[in-house]
Amino acid sequence: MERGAEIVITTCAGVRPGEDVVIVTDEERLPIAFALERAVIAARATPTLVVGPRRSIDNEPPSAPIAAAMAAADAVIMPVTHSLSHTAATREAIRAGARVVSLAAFTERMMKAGGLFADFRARKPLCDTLARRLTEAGEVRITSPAGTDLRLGLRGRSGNSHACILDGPGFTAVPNIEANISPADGSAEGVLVADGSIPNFGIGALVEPVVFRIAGGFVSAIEGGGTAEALRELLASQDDPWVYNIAQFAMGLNPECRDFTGEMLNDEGVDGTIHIGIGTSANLGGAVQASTHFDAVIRAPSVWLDGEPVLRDGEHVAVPAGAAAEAR
Amino acid sequence: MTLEARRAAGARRLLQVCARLGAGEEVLIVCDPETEPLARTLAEAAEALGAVPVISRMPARPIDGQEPPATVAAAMKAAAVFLTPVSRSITHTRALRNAVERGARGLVMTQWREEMLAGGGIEADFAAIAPACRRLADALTRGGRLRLTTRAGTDVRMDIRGRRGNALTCIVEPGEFSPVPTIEANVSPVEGSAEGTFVADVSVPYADIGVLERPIRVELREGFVREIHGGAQAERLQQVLDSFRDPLSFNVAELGFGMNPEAEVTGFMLEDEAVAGTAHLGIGTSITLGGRVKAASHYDLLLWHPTLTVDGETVVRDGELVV
Repeated sequence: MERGAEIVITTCAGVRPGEDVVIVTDEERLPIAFALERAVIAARATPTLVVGPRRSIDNEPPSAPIAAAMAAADAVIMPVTHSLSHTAATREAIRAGARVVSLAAFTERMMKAGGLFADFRARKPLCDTLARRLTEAGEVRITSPAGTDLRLGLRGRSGNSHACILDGPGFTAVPNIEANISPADGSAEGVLVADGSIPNFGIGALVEPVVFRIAGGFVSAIEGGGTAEALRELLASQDDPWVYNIAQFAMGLNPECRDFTGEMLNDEGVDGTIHIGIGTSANLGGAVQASTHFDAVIRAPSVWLDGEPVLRDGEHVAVPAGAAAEAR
Repeated sequence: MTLEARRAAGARRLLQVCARLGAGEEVLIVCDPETEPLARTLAEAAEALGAVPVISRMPARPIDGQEPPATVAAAMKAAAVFLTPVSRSITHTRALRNAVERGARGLVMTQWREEMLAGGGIEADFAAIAPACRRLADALTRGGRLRLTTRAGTDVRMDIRGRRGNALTCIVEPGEFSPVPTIEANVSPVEGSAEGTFVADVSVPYADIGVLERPIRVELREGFVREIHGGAQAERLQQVLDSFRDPLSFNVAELGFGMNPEAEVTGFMLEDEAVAGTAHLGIGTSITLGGRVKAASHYDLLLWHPTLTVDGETVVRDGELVV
């Protein structure tokens, strides 16, 4: 895992000599955390490993000492079992000047092969361009062969380029190079058919599609087989209406994330897919802090921004000059 | 009981009796690679009590008394309870003082070994000894001038006017810290006031010096250690203190009295300083004890069977509290 750890620490987090680096982890991810710790020492920075109890669900807030350590760090690396990306702790750390890298649900396989070994620098211009186009667009429409047909309003919201490289305070998950945006509250309408992956809550790559009926910015119904039923029950148990909020539209852009494996940050990064984030939007430019945030990934989507095609059946189209070469 | 069960019982005792850890409380355990197994034992005990443990593992500090990384300092400040099983002391740091000022309850566990959970000072009846500890601390708070003597040749005088006596009972309230199992009463003398000769004949539990083979005699003038005499261990002490290149490392920071009847001299800092019938001279940083000095380090020198008089009244005679 040494090479993968070095990529995370030096390429993604940009750790420099003398910096204070917090590695937030739990018992299950310790081998990965130890590899990262060695990479921090090799970069002549100071690692602090913070081992907390596993959270019970993705994006449950970490305990106060962990949040405080994050806010005091120059860089925060999070190889955790349950994501901390969409928590106030992450937001506060960025506000305090930290560069935050999520490695949620990371596996040793992901440290050794796949998306982490993509050329992030080369992919960044495309990611930046798409984020800018999201900022400029008023509406996005998404369809897919499985039956997705969804419209989201984007007015007043800014796109985010999470290219797995942090040059200053900010956030990226690794290795899911993605351009994303939080849609205008209440604007999402249509149907979303998740047929790729729901890489949260132990669901993973989907064998049967899960259908989300969406109205007025919220999921109004979840249909399908046993997976849909389990998800329905889990969300109902949160006793929080905001867990149904349509929080995010994102395009995966990592050519080395080749297929759905059930590994969250791999699945979200698969090139030519899109995912819809549901729940908390506060760390993406939205206003909602829910008790969780999860994602539903769509295969072979077609995407239009104000009527202009961006993806057709999972293939990049009409990428503006400059980024076109990177897209292929 | 198996060794493992005795350790678990010791950890539970520390958390319940000393830290008074409650269910649902967030407890930060600061450790380094060497002390991580101990940190895990403590975390398991905390979890068993329904508390929320967070282990914060930092690289081992090169010397005692150095500030932990800013990230660890921030985590300490945010915790309800913190424990510090570390190889090198972070007791006399701003990080610890800031955490305590925020209302945290802290147990200092420098140089702890897992076997210390299984027996020794940990077995003391902390609540029963606390009143005696407070009586001695009160005598130090009220006092103006103190004199410390031993049959081995110690004769030290200090001014403690306006300084508080600290009762480290190993049972902490919000805003307090205590080394464990170091039941001790101590005071930080007025800067510049310590004068005389201190003959350490127990241990210097720092910098791998440990239990003393020959006594170390230190001469104190105007509040500073001016001379260190003795054998190879005295030389080692001199070298280490010189290496900090900080004259304040020689500041007379503390006079403390061990009061734990179960503790034995082992060369490990907190077990040694706890031993009933010993006194220790702290040198270097004094800010966590009520003094004004922040130095590069804080070291302690221990002696047996002290006699303490405060304003002419005998308070400790040959290591026994008489008030």
